[in-house]
Amino acid sequence: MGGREILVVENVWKRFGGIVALAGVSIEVREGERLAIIGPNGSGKTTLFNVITGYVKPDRGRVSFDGQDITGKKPHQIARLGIARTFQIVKPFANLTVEENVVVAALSRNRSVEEARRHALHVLELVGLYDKRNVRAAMLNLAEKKRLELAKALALNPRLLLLDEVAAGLRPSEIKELKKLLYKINSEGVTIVMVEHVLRAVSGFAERVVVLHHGSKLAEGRPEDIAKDPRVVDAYLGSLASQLLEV
Amino acid sequence: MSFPTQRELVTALAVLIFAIAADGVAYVFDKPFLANSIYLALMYALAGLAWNILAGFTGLVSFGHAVFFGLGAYATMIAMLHKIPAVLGILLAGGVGFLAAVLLAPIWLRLKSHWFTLATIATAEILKLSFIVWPAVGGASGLQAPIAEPGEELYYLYFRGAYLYVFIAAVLVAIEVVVLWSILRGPIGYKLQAIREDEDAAMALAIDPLKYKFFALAISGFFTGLAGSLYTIRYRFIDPFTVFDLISVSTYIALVGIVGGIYTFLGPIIGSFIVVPAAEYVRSTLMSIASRYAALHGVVLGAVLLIVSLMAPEGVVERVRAKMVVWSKVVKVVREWVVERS
Repeated sequence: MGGREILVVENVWKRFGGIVALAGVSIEVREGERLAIIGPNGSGKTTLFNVITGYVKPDRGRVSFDGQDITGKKPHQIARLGIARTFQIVKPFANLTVEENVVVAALSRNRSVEEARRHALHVLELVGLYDKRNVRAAMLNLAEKKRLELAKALALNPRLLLLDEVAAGLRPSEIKELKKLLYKINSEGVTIVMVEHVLRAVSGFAERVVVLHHGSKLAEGRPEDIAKDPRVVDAYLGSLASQLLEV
Repeated sequence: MSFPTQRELVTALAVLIFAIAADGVAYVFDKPFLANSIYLALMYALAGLAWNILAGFTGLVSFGHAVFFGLGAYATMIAMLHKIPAVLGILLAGGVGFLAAVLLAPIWLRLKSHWFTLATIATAEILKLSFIVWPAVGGASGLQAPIAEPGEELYYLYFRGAYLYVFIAAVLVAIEVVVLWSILRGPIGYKLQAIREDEDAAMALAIDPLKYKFFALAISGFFTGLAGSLYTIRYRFIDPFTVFDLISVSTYIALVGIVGGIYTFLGPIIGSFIVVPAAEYVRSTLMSIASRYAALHGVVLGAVLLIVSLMAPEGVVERVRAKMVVWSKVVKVVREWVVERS
């Protein structure tokens, strides 16, 4: 810890029609860190990722990566700078094989298909999809599709990895395996920011947790402190209560 | 299965050699109709392959490729009228097709899926109407190629029958096959297909969709322009109704790709050699037995398209390939059984 800041989000606002998705969010991520962003449904987590990666233009505010202002840059430019992301709703290239999916990603760093393929196979081995490499991506189950998302992001050789609910829908044993893999990636110097719905998914992994609620930062701190924070409990209980009340 | 295979390249070149051989047979036995059918099949194969780099590999389905075809046809015609050798006129047609694609890209590539398709149709119709009212290019009455004096046959590529033209067309298709095959197997092929599958996901992998769509469109325009020039050098007369036609040009180009199979490299060539000679045969048969109903050959074509859409939406090539896989499995099982018994 204590590395310099690799990603700085400053006072970012985003409104969709009448809904304020982000209301002045500021977050700093240090190089080499494992940060989790959690929050109830609709708290603005995915919108924040979309702003960072250029899919959504913020109404106000600034995003900088490695000291460079990247606000308003296109997604492919941001990806080239070294920020990789996964999508909450997985986006495999369904008609391509698993290997071809990852080759596409590896081509961002390799000129020839042969080199890219070598790199892709290495990444597939890492995420445990090597045996499925010749399967059409559409045929994978959800857990495998999530691993494929991760493989594509990793094949970019990113400096910062943004993971949007990679643990959701996975079995506890799969989550454990995933965390082990992410540890390994992080130990090689890749900064990881993961968005999750629930704290449990990030406990034991994240060094620091940011809680979003109604588009702004509600709390920030170590996972064990966050779990005890009454405001966080309220936010989750509140949303849970309203979900229960909905018929 | 969407990446072009070695076998597809070999098959494509074999089809071209077969076409030339069949053309030779047609010449020896004096079958002008057969030679002309082969020529048309090659012309549509040229345009169909170019169409498919957009539709099949990039996911941009055009029903307005008459834009490039028609402009290419006019470019070659105007070149010949200015006493430029027809060979240069053919190259010029490619250049004009390329240029048209580059100029249309800022408009077309703003649009996705069916909106893109509508824009292509609209553009082709606008061009047709513009050429109809534009006297400098002959207006509605079209343009006639200069009569080649004796000794000028090669200069203006003026030959009797389709026999020699088949060679020119086969060479152009061969060049296109090799060029597109190598492009689509390389990094660009991967990136185009990623864009086709999911543009957002492609961007997350540092791919600029606009750049690659632009490339695909430009190369598509180039080769479709060449196909237009093939029309001009063979038929020597063009008008806007013919070369910008929504059915016999735009739809036909798409049709040969769809029948053959758009997710295969080989699709448009195979589709073209099935659809075009069949359509020509039906047309000429109807013409000779009931000329009043010759226009009905379109009905037959429509039926073919419906049948393919219903029974083999993946196209003929993919169908045959699947059948071949099944057969090779059957052969393997039988062989193993025989080996076991002996």
